[in-house]
This record gives sequence, C-alpha cells and structure tokens, in this order.
Amino acid sequence: MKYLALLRKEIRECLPWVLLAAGILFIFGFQIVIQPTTFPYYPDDEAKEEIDPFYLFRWSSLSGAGSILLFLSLCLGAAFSIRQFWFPSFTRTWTFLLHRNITRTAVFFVKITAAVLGFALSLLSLWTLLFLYSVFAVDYSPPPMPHVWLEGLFLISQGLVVYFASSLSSVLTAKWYTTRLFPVIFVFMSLYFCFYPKTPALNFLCTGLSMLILALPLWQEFRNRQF
Amino acid sequence: MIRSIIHSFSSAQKAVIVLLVMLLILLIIQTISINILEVVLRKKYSPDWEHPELSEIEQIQQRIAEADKVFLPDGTLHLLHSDWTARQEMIEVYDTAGQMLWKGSRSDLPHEYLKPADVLYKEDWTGYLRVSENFSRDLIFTVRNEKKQIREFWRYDFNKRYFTGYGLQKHILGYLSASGFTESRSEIRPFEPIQNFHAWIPAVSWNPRCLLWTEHSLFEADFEKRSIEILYENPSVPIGRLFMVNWKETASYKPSFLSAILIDLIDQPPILLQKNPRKAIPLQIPDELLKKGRRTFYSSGQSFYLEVHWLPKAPMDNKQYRKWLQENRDKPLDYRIELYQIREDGTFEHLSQFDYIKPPYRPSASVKLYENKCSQFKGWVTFSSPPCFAWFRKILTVLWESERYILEDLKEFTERMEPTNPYLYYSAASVLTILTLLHYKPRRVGWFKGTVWLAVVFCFNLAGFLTYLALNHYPVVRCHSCGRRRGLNRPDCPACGAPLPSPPARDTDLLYPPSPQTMVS
Amino acid sequence: MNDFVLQTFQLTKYYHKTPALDHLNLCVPKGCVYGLLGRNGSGKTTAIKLILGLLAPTAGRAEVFGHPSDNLPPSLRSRIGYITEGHHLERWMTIRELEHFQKAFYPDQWDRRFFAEMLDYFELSPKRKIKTLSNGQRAQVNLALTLAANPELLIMDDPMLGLDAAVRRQFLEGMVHLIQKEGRTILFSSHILSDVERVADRIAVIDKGVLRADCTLEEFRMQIRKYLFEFPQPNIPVDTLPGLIYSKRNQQMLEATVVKTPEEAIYEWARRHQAAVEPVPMSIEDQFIEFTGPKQARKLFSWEMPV
Repeated sequence: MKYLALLRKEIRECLPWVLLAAGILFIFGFQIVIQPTTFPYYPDDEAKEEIDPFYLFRWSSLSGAGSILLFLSLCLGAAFSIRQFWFPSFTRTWTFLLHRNITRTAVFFVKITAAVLGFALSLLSLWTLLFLYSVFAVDYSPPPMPHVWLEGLFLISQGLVVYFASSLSSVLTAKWYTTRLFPVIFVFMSLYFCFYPKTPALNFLCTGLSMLILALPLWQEFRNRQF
Repeated sequence: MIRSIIHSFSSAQKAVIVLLVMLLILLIIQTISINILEVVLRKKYSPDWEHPELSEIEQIQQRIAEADKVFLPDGTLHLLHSDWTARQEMIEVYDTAGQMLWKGSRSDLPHEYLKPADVLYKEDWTGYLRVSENFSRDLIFTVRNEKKQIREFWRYDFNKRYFTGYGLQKHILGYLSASGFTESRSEIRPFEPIQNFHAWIPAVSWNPRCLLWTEHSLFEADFEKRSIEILYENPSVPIGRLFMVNWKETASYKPSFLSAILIDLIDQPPILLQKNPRKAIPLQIPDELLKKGRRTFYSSGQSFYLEVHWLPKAPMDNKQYRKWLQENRDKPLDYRIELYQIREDGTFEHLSQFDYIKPPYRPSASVKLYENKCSQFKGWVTFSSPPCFAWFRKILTVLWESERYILEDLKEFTERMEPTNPYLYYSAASVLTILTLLHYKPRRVGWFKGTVWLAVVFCFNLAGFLTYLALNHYPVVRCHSCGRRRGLNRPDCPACGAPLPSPPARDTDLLYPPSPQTMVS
Repeated sequence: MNDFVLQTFQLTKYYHKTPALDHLNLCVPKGCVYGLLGRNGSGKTTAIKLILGLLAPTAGRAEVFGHPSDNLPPSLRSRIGYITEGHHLERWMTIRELEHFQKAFYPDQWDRRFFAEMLDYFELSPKRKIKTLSNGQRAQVNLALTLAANPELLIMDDPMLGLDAAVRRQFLEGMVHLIQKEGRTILFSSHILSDVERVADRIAVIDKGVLRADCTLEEFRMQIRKYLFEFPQPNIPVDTLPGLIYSKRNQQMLEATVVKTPEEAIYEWARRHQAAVEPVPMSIEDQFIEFTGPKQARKLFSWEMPV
C-alpha cells in the first residue's frame, strides 16, 4: 500500500512531462510518418555509371521520427531526474519523503520504476503505434523491418542513461564542486560509445553497461546521502 | 556481504566515471594547447616557407613522376601531362624520351589507350546500417515502369541475407537469393555475408543492376527481370579484390573493347572472367608478379593486360614497406612500371617496362624547425598523459587489422594523448604517485585501498591523481595525542589510535543527566 | 530495561575542520518533554539529524529506542514523528492528497478522526493545495499530519519559527495533547524560550557544539542568578567572583551573573570587598543569553551609551 502510494506520487509528479513528450511525439511523429519515402537515384533519368550507395540505403518513413524520439527521450530523462532528485533538494522535502517507514532503497526503486513507466507510457507506446501505422498504412514504401522498433527502444533507453547520470549528479556530495557534474559529462561520452557499434545487440550491451555504471553508484550514494 | 560487494562495485564505478571524464578534459586541454602552438608557429615560420629548390634534372624527373602513364595496345608507353595555365585542362602527350607528341584537350586525344578497370574492394556496409540518430537504413532497389513510376521494391535483409520484393500495397512479390527468384521461402538459399556490391543503371533500361560478391561467390542481379546470375562460385577459395573492365552497359561502354572481371583470389592465382564469350580463365601469374606493388588491369579490343607499378628496392612486406618509405623519404626513389599481356591460356607475356625516378622530399629548414618545435612541445604537453596509453596503443595495433572499424577512433584518441617523452611522463607519474602516498597516509583506512589508488595514479598519471583527489580529499587535523596529521574520515588517529579530543569541561557547566529511573511527566 | 528513548554517546560531527557537534552525551527518558536550546549555529539541527540518521557522525553514535540511529529500520521510523523547521511539504498536493499519502504509511496507527478534527479546528479545507497555504497554515497541516500518525517519539526542529502567537499556542496544545497519552516523548528545539518554559521538563543547552547544560528547567533557573554589587572604589576585582559567567560594569557598579555559586559565597565575597549586594530577578531568556554569551558585556553599536 505504501509502495503504491509512493509510486502514485512519483508518477503524478512526472505526469506533466509524460503528457508533453507524448503529445509532441504524437504530433510530429505522425506528421513525419505519413510523408511518403523518396527514392531519388534517378534524378535525371540517365544511365548511371555507378549508383552512389548513399541513394540505395534508404530510411523508412518511420526512421525520420528517430531524431525527434531521441531528442524527446533525452529531454524526458533530464526532466524526470530534475523532478525526482533535484527538485526535493531545492524545496527541501527530502526529509518529508525519507523519514517514514520505508527504506531508502525502496524509495529509490520506486523512483526508478516511475521513470521507466513514464518512458513506457509516453514514448514507447507511441513509438509502437507509429511503428504499427507504418507497417499497415499504404505509403508506397516497404514495411519497416522489426529492428526499427528495436532501435526506437534503444533511443528511448538513452533517455534512461541521461536520467541516471543527472540523478547521480544530484545526489553526489563531491569534494570538489566540479566533479558533481562529471556524470553528466560522462553521459555524452557514453552516448557516443552506445551509438558506435554495428549491431543492435552491441548497442544494447553498451547501453546496459552505461546504465549499470551510473545506476549502482546512484543507488549507493542515495542510500548514504546525508540530508 | 552483498552490500559490501555492491559498495565496492559502486565506488569503483564512480572512480571510472570521474577518471574517464578527467582523461577527456586532459585530452581537450592538450589538443587545444598543441593546436594553438601550431597556429602560432605556423604564423611565425610561414613567411620563410619556401618551396624546395629542385635542380633542372629533378624538375624533369618530377614532371615524369607526376604524369599519367598510359599504354597503347602494343605496349608503347605515353606520358600525359595536364597543363592548367590556360584555365582549362590541356593535355600534353610525351614519349618516354621526353619528346612531346601532341597537345590538345582530353576529348580529342588521337590514340585509343588501354581501358583501365574499376577496382572494387571489400567494404563494410554494415557501417551504414548501425544505429544512429537517423536510424539504420535498408538497402532498397526500386523497379520502375515505362512511365518511370515505381512499381516494386527489392529490399536486402542483412540478417537473413536475401532480397524480398514488395509491391506498392506492401504485399510480397517474391524473393531473390543465391538460388535465384522464388516465390516460396522454403526454396531460398541465403547469400553468404556480402563483402561489397556495385550498382549501376544500364543505358538499355532504367532499372538498376547490381554486382554482389560474397566471400566465395560473385552474382549479378537484374531486378527488373527478377533474376540472379551466378558469375563465379568456389566454396574453398575466398575472393579478394575485383577488377571490372567494360562490363557495365552504361554510357562509357565501348562495344569494340573486351569485357571482363578479374577476380583476385586469396592465396590463389586470379581468375579472368570474360563476358563475351562467357568463360573463366585461371591466370598463371608468376609469384613475383603477385607480390609486386600496385596492379592495374586493362582491356583493349583484342586482349587483356596487367600493369604493375612498383619500387624494385623496397621490401615486399607491407609493414616493412611503410617503414622503408618513411626512412627513404628524403632520397630519390626508383620506380618501375611494367606491362604484361594476358594470353588466352592465362599465361603472361612481358610487353614493356619503364623506369623513372621520383625526386626526394626536401622540406625547407623552416618546415623542419616547425616540425621539431611542435614535436618538442608535444613531448612537454603530453607529460601528464597516462603511461598506460603507450601499452594500450600496442594492444590496439595488434587488434587493428581485425577490428579496424571499431577501433579507429580509439586509435586516434590514444595517438593524440600518447606521451612522446618517456622520461618526462614516467617522472611525472612517479612524482604524482609519491604525492598520492603522502596525501593518503594521514587519511588511510586500509592499505589495500591505498595500493589500488597508487596503482591507478601511476597508470593514469595526472588524470588518475585528479581522480584520487576528487574522491578522497577529506579534511585533516593534528592529532592531540601524537601530533601527527590525521584525516577526519575515520574516528581515530591512524598513527596512535587516539580518538578525537573531547572538549574541556567548564566549572559553569550544568550537567545533571537523568538517571535510568527518571520518569518525569 | 532501558527507559531512555533516545541516547547519544560522544556524538561528534565535523564540517570540514570545524566541529559542529562535539562529543554530545544526551539521554532522553521516556515520557519526557526535552527542550534543546542553543544559539544560531550551535548544533541543534545537526544533533537532531544525527539522531534521526539523516547525517552520518564523524565519531560516536546515537540510539533511538535502543537501535543505532544510522540504520533505523522502517518499523522504528513509523514510531517517530518528525517536524522540520520551515514545514516543507509537497506543494502540488492538496491537504486531502497529503492525508491519503501519509495514511498509506501508517495504516494501523492513523487517527482519521483526529486529523479531521484538527483541520476543522484550524479552519482548513482539505481541498486546498499546500502551495496556497501561508507559513502558519502549513505548520498546522504538518502538525496535524504528524500527530495523526500517533508517534511515540515526536522530534521537532524549531517548529515554531516564523509562526504567530496563536499558531504557536496551537502547537503547544498539540504537544500537550500528545504528552497526555502514556509513554509519549517529545524532543524539540526552539528559540522561543517562553514556549520552552511552558512545556519542557528538561532542557539541554548546546553552545558551539558542546553540551553545557543538561538538567531540569527548575535546576537551570535555580542555578543561574544575577546580583548587583556596589563597590566603594572603581577598582572591581571581577575575576575573583566564583562561578562568574557574565558581568557588566559601570564605574563602581557591577552586575554579575553566576552559576552554581551558593548565595552565602556571594555575600561572603561581597563582604570581603566591602560591596553592597542585591539579587536581580532574571527571565529565562536573560538566563539563557548570559549562560551562552561572552563573559563581559560588549557594545554592539558605537553610539550606545556606555554601561
């Protein structure tokens, strides 16, 4: 009961951002998805000595929504972290939250759960809708491959990495002030390495590794943090 | 126990995060410093950067070295020199004795020289497919009708390794695989992983054709006809490079010239795949010809040719060759170009040969000074780089050949940061390690942790030291008992074990604590 | 059986190189109203946070209900009510939502009727959002939320800061209501000594992180006394006065505050120095200020009349 109450509170606090992200993805995502895919390697209707592979590797219409999905995911991760970890420091409500008959670890995991649910409700569900639309709608292009949905999941998971990094920055009681920002700088490096591999399995592995590197210290710091 | 394991892991991960960021910051500072110096020095020395003076003979040698070397079918070599002084390209044709034979625009060349082949290498197309902010992409060929409207799509699945055809209503038309066109999935024979492909649009049709090759096979796909032709297949011998001459029926196709693909096999003599008539001729290429420098394949109206362009004095081994080239950069280099005719039985006939000298590279004294100063400064700037980068780079070099694509950026990163003056950086690492020891001693909570940190500082130099300070800088006070410095991260003095001093009591203190039985309501 | 609800053993906390709390030894018996007094920055809030496990000590330890405070289990925390200075609550919630949230954590102990009665008494509608409430109203809600959970131990860190007299009175009445229940204990810190005087059984005075007084209120009041001396000559041997904690001189007049000095000793000292002596009544505020202040009076402003 207390866990549900806490989860409800956390979700309610993040709800405006969830709705905002879902709304933006819905509006812009569908605008992008309904555009027909172009195949421009016959610009002059001439015989070509060589077709530039750039024109042969085409995005699906859904892929165009990838940029906005990534952008929203990163912003949502930052928003969740600010609301859940930074905000209580500004409003000094940590003691209100933590001094009750629940362990800090439970509070921590409820927050994580709320964030994951937020991502699932806003971005993942809409992404799935866009994917299904692309599969069934007639837009004069082949249906998107299943891995496109997986790649959307990968982009959404980057938002979680940002969430962990920003939250870790918030709970760190660094000896030097600048080192408090290091997890945020680290996340830029990890984004690069997460995008680098060629196969989705490696992409997810790098993402999982980044999350682990950030989440464990976050948990430990949160448990031992002095308020 | 689980808690202590998690605690250890999370402390290590925190250290990893801080260390990686410190390394990045260090790299940025080093790169900025080196770039600023290069700009400053370039400004200082550039007025003195004169072009190196070449003697008259060397100037002639330079012209010969820079000229395009083209052959006639009888083996005669001509040198084509481009002249842009008139703001448009004028071609001067010379013979090997240096006599000018003709001058004019390229399109008016009087001779029909041998047609060179396109060289096709292995390419890792999966790079196009990896996840990016724009997502990975599909390889799609479209087929259009007479009105040039798209009627079909053929998409290659890199996991399943065959093409699937889709109509406009997203319904499946069929599959193109190594077994040809099929409407049923059960008849599919997937391709091996594709090494590369080369697509073109022929003049006779507006729909693309594609040459695909895998490790052991070569295919030509015609999407309009929904066909896959197996040009070559040998399960035991892998394919290296391809030379394709006059094969594609595009605008540059010459009907009078022979068409062929030369298939360079790994550790086997190459195969010449002729188009008309279709036949595959194994070439009996001499061993020494295989090892010599750069090879180019040609065709004419009557025959096929192989050109070899190489340095007779250079070692054959690739790694030694590069080293030799660097060492002999400032000496004249003897080049040789040879032409061989390929007979119908696959044997080679030596037709002609031409030797020429490339003049040495002589930088001006200013350039040398500039390079020396940059190198010296880099030694100073990189003194704070981790010594382990030198070891890391050796490992990378070993892995380089097999994982080139992934490691390219890492290699560049370590090259920038790699310390160039070993005395400086080991000295710096040692000093910082000693400082760490002095810092840690009053704050010690255990020597295992201390040893780990000392190792980190030694291995990562300044970045490691800053990481250590960021995570371990607890305040220090003097112990009231032994007088030594002690950290406030532990309740007792590490030297004498004395606890923190109690405050002195005052006579005026009113301390009457309650007894256990006190129950005042 | 230990009748102490709360105990600290050499509890020490350093911030950088400065001891915010220095070897605090405190025992709070069950059923007691314990007032924690001290000047600004003396370490009261630090002590409370250490006791509740919100801060980690540099040395020493604290125990609550016999359990180490750095690892209080959730079941123990449900028995402790904590009201912070400033009454920081989730501003986006309504009072009703806050009640439901809080109730979820105390399903067995929650006194729904009491909470409703308190809201009714404070004339607060449950539909109001916290962010629309004033400081005092927020304090009222916080008090209601904490007391409705029926805590065995109530810890309050300067809860009446910034509240008007009426709300402060309500707080005190709330405390009294709690004390009336058997076995309840209160530890609170405050700057308003008149309020402390009304409800506290025992007080502890912390000065610059060090515990300087730990006694009943009566003992504190009895042991600190002020006298007015009149000397025949201006040369006043102040430093020989036993138990002196504060003095103010004006030519031949000396106003001195002493601690733990019997009256006979004062009169004997006066007689020896041929001074006339007269006791001066002190309020608890004066006693506290002079107990924790410097030994000699200092002028704050340059235009003050010399004393």
